[in-house]
Amino acid sequence: MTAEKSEVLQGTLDLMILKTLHALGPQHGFGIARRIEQVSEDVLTLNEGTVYTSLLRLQQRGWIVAKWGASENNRKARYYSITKIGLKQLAVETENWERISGVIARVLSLQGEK
Amino acid sequence: MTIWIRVLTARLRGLFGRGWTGHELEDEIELHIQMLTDRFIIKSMAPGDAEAAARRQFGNATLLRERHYEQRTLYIFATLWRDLCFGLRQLQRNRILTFVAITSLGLGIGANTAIFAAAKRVLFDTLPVASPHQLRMLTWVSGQEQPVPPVWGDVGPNDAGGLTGDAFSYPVLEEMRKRTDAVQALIAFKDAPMTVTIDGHPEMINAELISGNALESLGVKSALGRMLTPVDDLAPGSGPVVVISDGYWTQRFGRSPLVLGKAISLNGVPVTIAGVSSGRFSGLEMGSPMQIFVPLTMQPLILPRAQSGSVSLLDNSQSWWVQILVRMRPEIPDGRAQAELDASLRHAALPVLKRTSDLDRFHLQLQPGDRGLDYLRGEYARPSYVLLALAGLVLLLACLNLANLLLARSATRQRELSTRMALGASRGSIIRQMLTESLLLSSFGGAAGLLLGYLGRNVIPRLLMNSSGPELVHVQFDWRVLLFTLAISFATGIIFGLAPAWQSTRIAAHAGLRVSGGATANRHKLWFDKSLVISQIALSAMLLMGAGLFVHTLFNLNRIPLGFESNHVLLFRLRLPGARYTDAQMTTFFKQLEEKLASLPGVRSITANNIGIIGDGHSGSTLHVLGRPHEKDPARVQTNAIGADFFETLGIPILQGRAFNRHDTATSPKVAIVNRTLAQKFFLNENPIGKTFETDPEDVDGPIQIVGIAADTRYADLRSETPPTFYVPYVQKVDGPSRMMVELRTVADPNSVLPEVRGALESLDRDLPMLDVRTMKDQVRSTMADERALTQLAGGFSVLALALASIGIYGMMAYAVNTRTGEIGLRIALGARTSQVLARVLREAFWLTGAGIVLGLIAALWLTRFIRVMLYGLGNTDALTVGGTAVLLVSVSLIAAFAPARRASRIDPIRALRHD
Repeated sequence: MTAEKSEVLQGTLDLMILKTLHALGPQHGFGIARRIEQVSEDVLTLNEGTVYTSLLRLQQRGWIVAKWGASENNRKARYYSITKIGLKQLAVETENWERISGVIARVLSLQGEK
Repeated sequence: MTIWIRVLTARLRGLFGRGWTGHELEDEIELHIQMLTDRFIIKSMAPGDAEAAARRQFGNATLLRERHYEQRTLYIFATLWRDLCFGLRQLQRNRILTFVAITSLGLGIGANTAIFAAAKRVLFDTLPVASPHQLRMLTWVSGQEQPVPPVWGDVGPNDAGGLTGDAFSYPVLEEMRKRTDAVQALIAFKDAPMTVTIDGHPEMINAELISGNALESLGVKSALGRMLTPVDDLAPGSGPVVVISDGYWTQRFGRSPLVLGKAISLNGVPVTIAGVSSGRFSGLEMGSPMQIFVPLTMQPLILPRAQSGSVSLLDNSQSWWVQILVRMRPEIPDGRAQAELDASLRHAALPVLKRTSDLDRFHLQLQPGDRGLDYLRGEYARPSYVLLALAGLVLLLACLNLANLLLARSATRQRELSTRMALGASRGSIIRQMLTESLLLSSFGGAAGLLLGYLGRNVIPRLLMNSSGPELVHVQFDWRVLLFTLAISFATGIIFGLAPAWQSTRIAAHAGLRVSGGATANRHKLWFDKSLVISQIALSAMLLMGAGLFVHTLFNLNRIPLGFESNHVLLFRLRLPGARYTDAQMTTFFKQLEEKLASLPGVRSITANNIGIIGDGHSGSTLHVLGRPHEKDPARVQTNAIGADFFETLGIPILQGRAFNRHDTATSPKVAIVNRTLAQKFFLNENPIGKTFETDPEDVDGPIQIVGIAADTRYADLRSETPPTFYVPYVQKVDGPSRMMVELRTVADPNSVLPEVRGALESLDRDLPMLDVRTMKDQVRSTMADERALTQLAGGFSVLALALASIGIYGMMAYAVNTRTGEIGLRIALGARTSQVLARVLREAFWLTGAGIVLGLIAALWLTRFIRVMLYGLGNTDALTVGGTAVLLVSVSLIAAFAPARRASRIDPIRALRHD
């Protein structure tokens, strides 16, 4: 059961990270985690470390790239930014997500009629 | 798709730059946690608490590192490599186990490889020609009475109750050649031994007469020079060229290019070598390599057969001698081609066939031709299957041993495995690691087995070589054998490593970490181990039964009364080529030979006969007693054309009448001597002496008078009952004595007179080689070659099986004693005597063995039916063998269990209980 949950979470986490990078521009892992925490209003409680697993996946697929830079406190940090194909993937995923949630919404409302 | 490629490349990069990315992650984690800590400090938390809270929020860093690592490389390779290294280290640490496992696996796999290589030749290999599956062998079938004139070739009964044969006449062949629409090509051939004289040295070789189109249709390329063409085959002597095989070129000429255009003589006829065939092609008879290929139309010159005034068989519709292989057209189904060729056959043959009552049953039949003329399969199929089965049993035993050893060892690693699983290793990863170990063992075993198999590849054929049967030579070690070995090794490793691996992880987690010995927790394992040992005993019992049966058979065969004296007799064969000798010259030759050899010191008497008395095949004929009505189905009897001193040389007593003497010549009245079986069959209540009979006119012409009765002897082989046989003097036969077996009775060791015999032969004909020189004792022994081979192999396997089984029992008992130390200590403390403890352990071993023996014997008795034809003189359930097997196995197992039993009885109760 835990495996399933983490897989679903993994997929949605990917999407959230892409969106974050798209909206906020280049970020390091900490910044991404803060943004997600903020947006989800603490509903999604996850171990922040899992962000890095997602970041690796996205990197491997070429949707984001990483670069070493200086953080706000002048510490060495790794900044991630979305790529062109990453943008395309984001658009595709967003469309998918909206379609699916629309279908589910319709199905659920259907059940209510019975 | 492209995503997958990108991920793969990223992972590959990760695999090789492992350390570097790991450090990067470390930095990121450290930074992240620091920034989290700062946030908590800002929210006015104490630094120590802040850091703890930060780490908590971050989550399991170790797990993250693990998952990250898994993700960024090709994890499977990394773990595989790690498992491999660990496995190798484990093997090194347990040298005894490794040694025993690899040795037993090596022997098992090696035996299987060697036998498979030989059996492949017998069962699966096809001729090394182009598209062998397109080839069909032509045969004819008929009713019970043979309508075809006497055949120079094979005729035998078929499954439909009639006869079948594979020889055709040349005119029939030419008629069928016209049907080019039915088949792609017709390849005609005839195999015959010939004398080839190269640079003045004669030697016997196997030659194949083939039609001119043959080599081309078969796709045989030339390694040197050219192949035979239809132009060479137009008329006798139009192309006095031959092609030699690659094997012969290597063996006889050392692959010298000078053979091209070399002039040699074949049966006295000068021919030129036009080329060398390439590759493994060595004729169209499976298993019998041909050295020289000759155009078919050379027959009248090289193999003249005098018949109705002419020596040529090419225009003789009464002589059926040539074999025909056809290459089918892929678009024409077998049925249609067969029907069309059948029409040609009947059209050409019906005018010359004997008018039997069921001529409508005479038809053509297509048989598979991918193995050409196949004598191998009939002769060796059954022994091959038996050997494969035996080898399979041995391998199974070795595998069970492997499983046993692995199980025993995993018992000692219990603590390690439990700790691992507690630390979070998945069951799959542990099983994978143990499988890697067993695969390592089986791979090493497989490599050892391959080597053994290669070294021993000629052992099997040599063991099975019979004097009269086709030769099983040239066992090839090709990719199929390699694949076979690889497959077995792999399968062994996986199948027999899986069970112990799975078993050991089953109870690992909770039970293994308990300090106490925990006899109860290991009950499952004990049961598994017991069934392994029982299986081993059962397999050993089966092998021992097999060996015992063969030994018993061999013993029985050796005790069969031969009917003649086999001591002090030297044999050899001579073939007089028809090109150099007429019939009269042949007779003169043998007369002179007999006189010369009889006068040698050390030779008591000499005779020559048509076929050897044993191990030389059959020579059948019909018999019709004059004065009795003709029978519809004339009885077949065996016959032998012999010299005057036959009975004396071979020590066969004459029961009544007289033997042949000098007065029986070619011109004197035809006489014969019959054996007792024939006398009883045909002349039950009368005296055969004086009666006359006739036989095939091609053998002896005219009425023959019986002048004596000889004692029965074995004929051709040891097993068959003596057939009714009559003997005629070879001088009175129609054909000259071209192929004769010469027997000499010597005073002392037969081999001692060999030089003088050679000298005498050379003085008569320098170009005549002596063939198959051996003593009669050897000849008799060679008829039992199959049985002896199987006995030796089965015996060897049984010894191996016993060794493996005893290791199994020893290990099993030692383990049982080990785990039950506490219990045994308790018993001793409570007053059990040493002898009682000893007896208890031995009794357990006894019951295990008993169970195994019962299972094994039941299986063996059921399997015996498949080898029944190979056994001789044994009852349905050979009590002697069964009893012997049981006794042997029980003794062996008790001995093997003795050491652990003694150790058990010597357990110091105080130490045992304290250890618990």
